[in-house]
Amino acid sequence: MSLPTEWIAALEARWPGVRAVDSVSHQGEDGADLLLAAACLAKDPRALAYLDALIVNEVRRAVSPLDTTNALVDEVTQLVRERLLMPPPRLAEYSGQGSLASWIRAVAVRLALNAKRPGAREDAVEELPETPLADADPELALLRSRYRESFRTAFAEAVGTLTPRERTMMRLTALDGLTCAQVGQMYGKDASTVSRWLSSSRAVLLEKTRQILSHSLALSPSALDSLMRVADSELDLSISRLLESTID
Amino acid sequence: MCPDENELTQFARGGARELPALEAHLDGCERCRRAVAAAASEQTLPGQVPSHELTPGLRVGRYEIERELGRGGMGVVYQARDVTLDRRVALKLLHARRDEAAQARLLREAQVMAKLAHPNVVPVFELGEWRNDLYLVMELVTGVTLEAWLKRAKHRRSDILEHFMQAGRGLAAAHAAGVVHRDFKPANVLVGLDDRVRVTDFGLSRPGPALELPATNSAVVTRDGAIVGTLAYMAPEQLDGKTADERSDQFSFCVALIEALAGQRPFKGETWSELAVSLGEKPRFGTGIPAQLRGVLRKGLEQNPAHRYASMTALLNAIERAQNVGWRTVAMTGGVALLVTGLISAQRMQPAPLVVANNAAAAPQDAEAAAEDFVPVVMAGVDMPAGTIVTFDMLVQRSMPARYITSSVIKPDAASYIIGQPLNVPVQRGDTLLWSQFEQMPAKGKTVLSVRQDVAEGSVLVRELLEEHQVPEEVATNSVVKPHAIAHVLGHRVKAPMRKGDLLLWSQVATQLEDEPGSLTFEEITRVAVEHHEQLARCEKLSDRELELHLSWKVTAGGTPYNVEAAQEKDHPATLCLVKAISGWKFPERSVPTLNIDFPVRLVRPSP
Repeated sequence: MSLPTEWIAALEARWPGVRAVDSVSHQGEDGADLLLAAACLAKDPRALAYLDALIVNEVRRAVSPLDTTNALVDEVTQLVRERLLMPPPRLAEYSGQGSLASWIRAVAVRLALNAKRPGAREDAVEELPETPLADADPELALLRSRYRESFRTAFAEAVGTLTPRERTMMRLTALDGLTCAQVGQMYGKDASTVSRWLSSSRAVLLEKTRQILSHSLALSPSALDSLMRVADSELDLSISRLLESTID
Repeated sequence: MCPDENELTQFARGGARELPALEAHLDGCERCRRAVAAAASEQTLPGQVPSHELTPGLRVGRYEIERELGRGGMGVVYQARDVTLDRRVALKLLHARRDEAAQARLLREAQVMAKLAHPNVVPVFELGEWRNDLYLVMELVTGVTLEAWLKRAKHRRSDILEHFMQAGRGLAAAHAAGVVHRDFKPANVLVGLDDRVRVTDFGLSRPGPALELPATNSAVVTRDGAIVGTLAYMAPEQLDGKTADERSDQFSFCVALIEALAGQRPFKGETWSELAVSLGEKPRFGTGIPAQLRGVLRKGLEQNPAHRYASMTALLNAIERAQNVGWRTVAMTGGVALLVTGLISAQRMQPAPLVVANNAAAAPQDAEAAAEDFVPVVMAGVDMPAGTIVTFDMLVQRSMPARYITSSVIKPDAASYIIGQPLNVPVQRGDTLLWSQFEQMPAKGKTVLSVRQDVAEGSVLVRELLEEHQVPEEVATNSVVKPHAIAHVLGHRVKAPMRKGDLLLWSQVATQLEDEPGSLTFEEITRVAVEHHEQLARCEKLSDRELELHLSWKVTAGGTPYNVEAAQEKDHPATLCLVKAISGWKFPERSVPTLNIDFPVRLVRPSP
């Protein structure tokens, strides 16, 4: 099989000095990166140097947000190196769907989450609604503290009524910090559509929570309204933790 | 079973095949969802504030962006204002975040460069980080790149060589300090309005084969295509991905010099593969390079670094000898320009001995004539009729006796403001250019301090001696003291005589201090000095009409008590008050290990 000439041109432009290897088994879109991966597997020293710089860069980018202490970055960098190059080399699996950089980030994040998993979630739930926002109003503070547990249960139930896509989109934006445009790209929609989806999900979430609460608690409509107002104003603060705690 | 990374990256790009199945999986699997988010975050750059575009008015650290000056392979350069020190600087935002090792090296080299004061090297002020990008703050040089200078006109060979010799000296100075440039080319050399040549962008490129690593945003690299230009000057060992050293700079220097003299580079090709071939061949010298110089350059272009000259200095000496015709020493007109900017490049300053003189009468004036001082100004290099749009080429820099200089004369550091402006009145060749000759006078003036009368050297600055003075904004450079900083200069002695109406410059009231690790920065010292000045002012419940105190003490940082010694009149209430005030002074912790200050204090009381 002869290589497309545009792949070789792209290789020269993006990874100068890397020799094109003929044995490429994938038919991805990113020819330059596929050729780089193939050259790495053929032990081209220059290609390996590029790859290593890429790993160092991308692991840092992907793992730093997960790990404020940065203790993980070095460890994951090493893990990714081993995983990609030690036999059987995972690098052979890279199929050129998207850039090698983003593929490496995906690999790195999964390895990082494996490494830090134990105990991470407990903290998130514990520190839930201790936000000082409504504390100026003692009545609301009382409402909040008394019904915190009920609210959390109701919210979790309401999250369950959303579709998988709605939940994933909310988490990608609220927890993972992606923009509406980035999420939109996954679904072939523009940013404003995603933004509309998100705000309607948010409204649905609040309405469902309210319904569930009105069934489970004997509250007057006005007290319920107050509680929901607090919930609404604090939703952005607590949505991350609430969403996180409803994953299983 | 989790999908593999290919599927996840494909989903992130919007090309997922099994969308519902994947959605269902992502809903329950945090690991995969986060992996998708990481893969998708690549598209962050165009969506949010693009990391390589800064708009005027934006703040990067303590710098306010004013305008874009240009872009190159390593980043975009902006003119910015340092809002703390109120000076104009060049801020270079570097593309893409580098890995930790490269960052550490960049930081170390920036530190070296910040200390390296050489007339042929652009001073580096700071290396900072802003939204994951590194930025480098440097002196703002008014002028053009050597590349543009070479293209602008056909220059005499001796002029070209002289410019390159200056650049070579800059390189040699950096080498002596342990910094390798790694990317020497005419685009990285600036020719100032004063014709002084300065090398910039030291050590910005990555070592080894990762030099062209597009990091995460390959668009940046392909768009400005600067990489291709860079490769053309690169030594073979750099193309091979080996470590670059001083001799690699030597090679690049020779390539650039041959290109400047002969109009073509010694090795054909611009891409890596073309260069890899032609570097194995003999260099082409074209015409116009004398045989002797050719021999020197051939040695500088040896494939094997060990066969080149031992150092940049050795190469420069060889070029000079080859010239044979008695190399003219490069006139250092730039040295004078440095005087004007004065404080700008001095990072660590210490106020001259502080004299407390509140409400004091003006110190006795000494009529002694001032030593003649020369200051650079901008003059017309050609006759210019009214309406002429001023260009860089029409201007020359000359030195003038300081006593002829008023605030209306345009100084070289403000020259960029008249370039492109139309002249109001005709100007003859050799005329000093004045702000008033331009239609577009700076919209708003700035208030600075000037002296109300002639002031002798060593005179104590008191409020009565100073007055506020309205000048065009461009004249109010960082080296001029502004009214808000009056407390920083009151009580200091001036180091040089001043004439009535002279603008007060920082360099006249402060002295440069040897660079010692841990010493205080200028800002810290002035802040401390002002606080202390105010405290001393409170010790005025004195009965004597005139009292002189000489205090000296040792200040140890970090809360340790100070040894305070009053030279005389230990029991005097004023002394006690001063000692009490001084012992309470706090110095920044960083001023370790010990700071010794001889601090003569003198109180002058007015007659009742």
